[in-house]
Amino acid sequence: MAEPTRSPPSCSLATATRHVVCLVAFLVTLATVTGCLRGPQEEAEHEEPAHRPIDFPAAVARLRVLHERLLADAPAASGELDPIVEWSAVVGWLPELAADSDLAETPWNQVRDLARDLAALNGVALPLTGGNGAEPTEVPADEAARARGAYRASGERAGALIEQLAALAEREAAAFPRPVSAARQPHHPPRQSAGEQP
Amino acid sequence: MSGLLFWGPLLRMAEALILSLPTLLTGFLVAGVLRRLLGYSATRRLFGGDSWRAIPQAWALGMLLPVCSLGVIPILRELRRAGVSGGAILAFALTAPLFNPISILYGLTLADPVVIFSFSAGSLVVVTVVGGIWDWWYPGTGQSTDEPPQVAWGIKRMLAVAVVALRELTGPSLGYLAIGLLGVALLSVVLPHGVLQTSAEAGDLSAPLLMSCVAVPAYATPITAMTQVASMFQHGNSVGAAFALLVLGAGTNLGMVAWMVRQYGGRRTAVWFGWLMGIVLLLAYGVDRPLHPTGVEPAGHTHAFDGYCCPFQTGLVNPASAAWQALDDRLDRPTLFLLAILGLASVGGLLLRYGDNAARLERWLEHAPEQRLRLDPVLPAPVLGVVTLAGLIAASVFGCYLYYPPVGDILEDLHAVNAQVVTAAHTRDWEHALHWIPYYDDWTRKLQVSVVLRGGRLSDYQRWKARLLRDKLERLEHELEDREVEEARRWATEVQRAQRRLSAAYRPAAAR
Repeated sequence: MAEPTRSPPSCSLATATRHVVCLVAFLVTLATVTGCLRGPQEEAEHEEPAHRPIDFPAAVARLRVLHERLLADAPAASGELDPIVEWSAVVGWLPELAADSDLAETPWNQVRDLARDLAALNGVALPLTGGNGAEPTEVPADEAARARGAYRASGERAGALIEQLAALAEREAAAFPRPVSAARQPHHPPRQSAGEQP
Repeated sequence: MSGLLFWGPLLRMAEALILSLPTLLTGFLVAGVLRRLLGYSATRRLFGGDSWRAIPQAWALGMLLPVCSLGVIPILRELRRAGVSGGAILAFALTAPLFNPISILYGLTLADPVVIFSFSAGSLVVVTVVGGIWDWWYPGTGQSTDEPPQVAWGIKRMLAVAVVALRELTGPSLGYLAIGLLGVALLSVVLPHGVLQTSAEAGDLSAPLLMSCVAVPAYATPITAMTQVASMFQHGNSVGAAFALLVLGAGTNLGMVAWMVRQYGGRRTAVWFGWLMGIVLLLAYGVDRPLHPTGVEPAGHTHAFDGYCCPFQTGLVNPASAAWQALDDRLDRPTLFLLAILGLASVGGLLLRYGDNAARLERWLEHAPEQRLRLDPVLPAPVLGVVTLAGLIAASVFGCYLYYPPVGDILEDLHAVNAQVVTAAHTRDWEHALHWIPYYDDWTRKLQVSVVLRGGRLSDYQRWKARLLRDKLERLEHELEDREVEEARRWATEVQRAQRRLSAAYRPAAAR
């Protein structure tokens, strides 16, 4: 007995095929209506935000500049990011930028912990970057002002944390000097005012 | 254009078949074990009978058995013959292709463990609710057919298992497999190259719905689905879309739907499908925000679904050659071995189907020898059946150690692949570099899983090193595709540097 037992099907193969075709048509229609099938697209590209520092030492240097500006409560120039927004973004990038260096595990762990401590300082969660190279999303003015106020209140602690980061960055730069030819070139030069970036 | 429409779908079907080989062959073997060793009454008991445990038990069995949504089809046919309730069959059908030990290990390491546990719990909710509703609305769908005749003990029992598998392979299951593969082909016709790259962004409300639509005809093995979920986490994509992709992409395909329609009718299938989509979407939107990974900067796109779209960009001059090249890349030695087994099994199945239509072989197998040796005790067939199923589960657990080799071995392989990619990028050997990049990416993930599998702890530092290497590989891949000489060289140097740092970070794990 080749097929010892058969369970009787509920409908014929033709009907089953018809149902499956209907299902596919329904799914394709739904996907089209909801905007999935818009036609061929360009290959998605990686773009980095303009204010992203090129490496870990540059990030620490930028934090120092932003720290001074935040303590001085200097307003952002036209077309520039609010310093607290940029500061938050740079702090968020610290673990990644440090991992993209020759730091050993122990100092890297210190960087990660310092970045966490710094991020906790302003006490306000800010939407920082839009991803895929998008500029930071709009931060409500009152929220940014509150974050700046919280930052200034803990300015001394922030300064101490940034100096610890600077010490780690200097140690890394001294241990692994990078030849000029091998220095990483940014996709987009970070936005900076004249004379600010060391 | 017509070349793309022919070779693209053909390539996608062949890729799906190749990917499915281990789990597909396992499915046929399990079908043979259920019929010839376990028998129908024991199968019903294994799946909880008519008790409330039937659906959770089917879910648990599905989590453990290493089959995919194509390989599950012959098993479903046996469960239906055995009289297992419709709810339990459908629970098994949805769960079995989602997870196996290799894919769970992968997910736990490369995505957030909380997310993987949540997704597992979510799948239990889905199958319990949908299966429960099915059994409540349509009671008595589990009608057993006659118990298959006992097979003679000894080698004949093993042969009988193989005969069932061979007949299934060339029987109705083949038609359902073909329909499942046609779904993959259809998707590649409907979806232009790379069209889904920006369709699963976090915060995009339509992402889970879109993914649900695309995932039903798509085919993904458990490990492919888990790779896609992990990749979505790395890119900060929509978690809801990832959940829909896992449950529907890995759990369903058009072949399975066709089987359901044929067995239970179009109306009942539509009701089941409606509930399934509704509950998956409800859970997908429910988990979208709470499970979104923190500290992950959205990449703005993902390549996780490129495999569902047309493989070629419009304007490709020679799609036949490109398709063959892509296929050739996948035909490594283990794949060729599995293809040979499938080919031989198909020939055997056809010989049985057309040479022994009267089932003389089965009658011979069922004929017990009159004498047996005193010191040769005969084990009951169900015992052998349970041992075989447990053995399959154990084999898939031990298979993890083969799939994820020791850290030191992986580091050596990574070093060799790095040399291939970097040299090819510097010498403008675009195709060679592009060929090796997917392997490179895959080895970095296996490296991470291997550390955890062998009792190590993956530190944040090590995670970052692997992630940065993959990011740079992706950048390099883009530049290679665009034939940007200088940028490709720059990113090849970056990859080289990231490789050196990765090796340094993982060397202590290799020494353990």
